[in-house]
Amino acid sequence: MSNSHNNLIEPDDFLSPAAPSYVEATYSDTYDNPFETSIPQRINSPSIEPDDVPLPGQKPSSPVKTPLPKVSGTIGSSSQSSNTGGNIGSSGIGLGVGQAMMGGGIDTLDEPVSETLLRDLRNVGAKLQQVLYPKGRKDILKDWDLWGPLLMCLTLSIVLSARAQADQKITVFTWIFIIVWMGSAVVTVNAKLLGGRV
Amino acid sequence: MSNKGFASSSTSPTSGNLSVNNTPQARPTGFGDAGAFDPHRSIQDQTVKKPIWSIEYYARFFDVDTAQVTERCMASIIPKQNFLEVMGGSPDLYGPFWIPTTVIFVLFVTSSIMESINAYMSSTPYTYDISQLTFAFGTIYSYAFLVPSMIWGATKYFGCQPDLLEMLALYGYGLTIWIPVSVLSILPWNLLRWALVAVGAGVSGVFLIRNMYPVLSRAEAQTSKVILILVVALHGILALILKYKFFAYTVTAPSDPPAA
Repeated sequence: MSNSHNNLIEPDDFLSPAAPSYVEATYSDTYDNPFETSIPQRINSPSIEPDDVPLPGQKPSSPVKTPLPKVSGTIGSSSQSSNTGGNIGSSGIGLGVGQAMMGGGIDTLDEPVSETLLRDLRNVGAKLQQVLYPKGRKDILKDWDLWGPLLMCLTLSIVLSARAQADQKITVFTWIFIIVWMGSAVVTVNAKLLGGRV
Repeated sequence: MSNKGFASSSTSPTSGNLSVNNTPQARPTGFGDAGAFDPHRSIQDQTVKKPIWSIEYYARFFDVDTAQVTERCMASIIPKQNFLEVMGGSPDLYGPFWIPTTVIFVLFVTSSIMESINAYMSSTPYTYDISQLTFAFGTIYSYAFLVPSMIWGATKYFGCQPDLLEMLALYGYGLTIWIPVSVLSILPWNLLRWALVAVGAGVSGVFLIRNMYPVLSRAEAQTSKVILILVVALHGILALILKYKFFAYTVTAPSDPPAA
């Protein structure tokens, strides 16, 4: 390979500056495979970070080597006392805007699916309870999610559509959906136009 | 002559956004017959430089409160003074959107109640007819938005200098009377329903004509007569549609044929 060196472009002509460490580490007169670096140099590269480095703005999580059941148990119990640990990246759904993103997202990856779904359902149930019978913490509705409204809308549409005339079932379903979602949008735009802060 | 309104607006638009002031298409209305200098509107023009696609641009058409809307609704039912004076030169879009929406749902609900009472009296099973909601949606929204736009376009073509906002406000607030008419039409007498429809069409028709006449008369005599007849005809067609589709009087006893 060394005698073909003159016909080839120098490695650092086309390698992006994002990976200078490869070039610096392996630069020689001969043309070497720039990706054939040893692992320690890859860690020293500024472009790739190991998985347990916390993202900017997060606290570093507790030691990575903790066995998993203990960590997920901690998160599960803390979600009842505070509403920050609840829905972290568990299924990617149900993330409320008001919740803080913590670095422990990867810890919910190994929990059973039923646990994931039930956590979201319990949240929806808690908010529904607050709406129907307003005792308890009022700001539970602040960390909103759209699964609850979707479930209610679907339930209402399906029930009303089942009870409608035979040739109108589709129309009824459509109208309920339109009224619920377009109605919310219209009311929100109306509030914004009237000067409210929504 | 068409610039006399623009004289009160500020001069140089910024290059980035569509300024409210000088580009004709940014302002959806002409200045109509607002010959007097309206300080409120010019101050608004000079300070508000919002792009036409933002919500803030349209917020100035929603600058009403409950008392004003109620006053305008009452003025459309009981015509005591010129509606344009009642609006005080600042027509809104709040009424012209929400009143037709209310009329749609009230029409559907009351006609369903009528038919269910009818079915109960004659002991037949009944389920509501959602196609009436679709029909009401199409009819009322086209009457409240398409027809005023068409009339505005026609009068603008013939040089009447209309104001689109005023047209929309007239047609929108003019639909207010149909809400009490719908509710009262639940009572099951055909003659009463016909009387109510006639009163509703008459009141809103007179309201429309009286307030549109100054604008229409600025065209030539023949054209303004034709447009006037068109307005009356469309209004009459709406009244008949409402009567036959929503306030229809049917008796579904096994022996009697239904009578409209």
